[in-house]
Amino acid sequence: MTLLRTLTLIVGIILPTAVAADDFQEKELTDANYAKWRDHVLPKNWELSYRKIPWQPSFWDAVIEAQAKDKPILLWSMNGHPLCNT
Amino acid sequence: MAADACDRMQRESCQDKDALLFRKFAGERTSPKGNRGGNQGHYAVTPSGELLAASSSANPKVLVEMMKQGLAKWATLSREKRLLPKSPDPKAAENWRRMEALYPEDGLALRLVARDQKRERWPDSNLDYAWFRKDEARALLPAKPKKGAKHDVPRELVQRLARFHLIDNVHALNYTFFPKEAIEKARLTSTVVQVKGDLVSLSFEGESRASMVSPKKIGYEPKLLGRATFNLKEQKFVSFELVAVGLRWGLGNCNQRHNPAPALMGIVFTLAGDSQAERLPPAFISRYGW
Repeated sequence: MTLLRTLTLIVGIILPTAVAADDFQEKELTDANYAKWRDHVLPKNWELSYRKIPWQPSFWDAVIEAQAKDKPILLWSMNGHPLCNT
Repeated sequence: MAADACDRMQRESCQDKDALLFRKFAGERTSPKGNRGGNQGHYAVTPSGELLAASSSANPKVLVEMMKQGLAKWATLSREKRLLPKSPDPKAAENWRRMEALYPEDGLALRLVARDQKRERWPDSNLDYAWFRKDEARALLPAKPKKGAKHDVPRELVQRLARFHLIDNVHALNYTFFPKEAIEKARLTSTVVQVKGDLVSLSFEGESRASMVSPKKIGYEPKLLGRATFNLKEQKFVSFELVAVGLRWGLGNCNQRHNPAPALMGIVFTLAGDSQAERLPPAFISRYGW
């Protein structure tokens, strides 16, 4: 569980220093702050960079492809799927 | 490049073909600090299951070095050593992909993201998916949609959201879901805002409260608001947003949150994409009763 999404770093993503300083102050959800909450929760583009890599979401599919192409496999493995709930 | 969960594959009792191959190399990995995360990590391997290099470090420089080492070792291996003697059978995966096969092609697949109001440390959000079969998706709006019509979403669907999706997984996969008796309220009402041709515009409003005290005191009490568009001709949602915001408290199993004191957490549901990665099953799909 502790090795979360480290592969974003492979593609050269450097965390914006602004991440640590978050000043989101909205309280309970209302029609008025709906969009602010939605935008606060949804990931920013840089947070989804790791998903731009064309991962095979199954190790077995990667084995099949690598066997056919005579290539090595880079596997990222976590408790819980690394591309979903880890 | 592959990304996959190791929970199943690392179990000694698992005899699935991918698991047998995985354990062949995962057991060989050693770390100066010990393999604290079990078999989690990054591996460079051959299709035959030969370990080329591995890392459990989050340091990108270590990872790049690991890949370089892996490629160097790959270059020294004979074809016989690199490859399996026989081509792997694609159908073998049907044995362990029963949940993936439940993907609702003609229903509704949502991606959900959870994040705290106050960010604790990065990574500070997590993803999961929520699936609805065609009839379940249709049950999110009135049978005869007319402007102003209100519709209570069937309780079992809202309860499913509250039990398996309105949970705190912000700081790592939470293996704890809410049992039925923990759901104190679960209500979602859709209102038809407009009907234009085949397109029905909807708004959502609702609330839920899930609370359990044993084995751990955990809960979440969000208010729900959202909007969506349903295409009557195609019988599917073409846009969807549902936002949940409320107090969460406590820590479920494997939740690595530092501070479990009650605080605001938001969860946003949107339409999932159609790539392979976006078709991964919800964490608790096996509890859906499908």
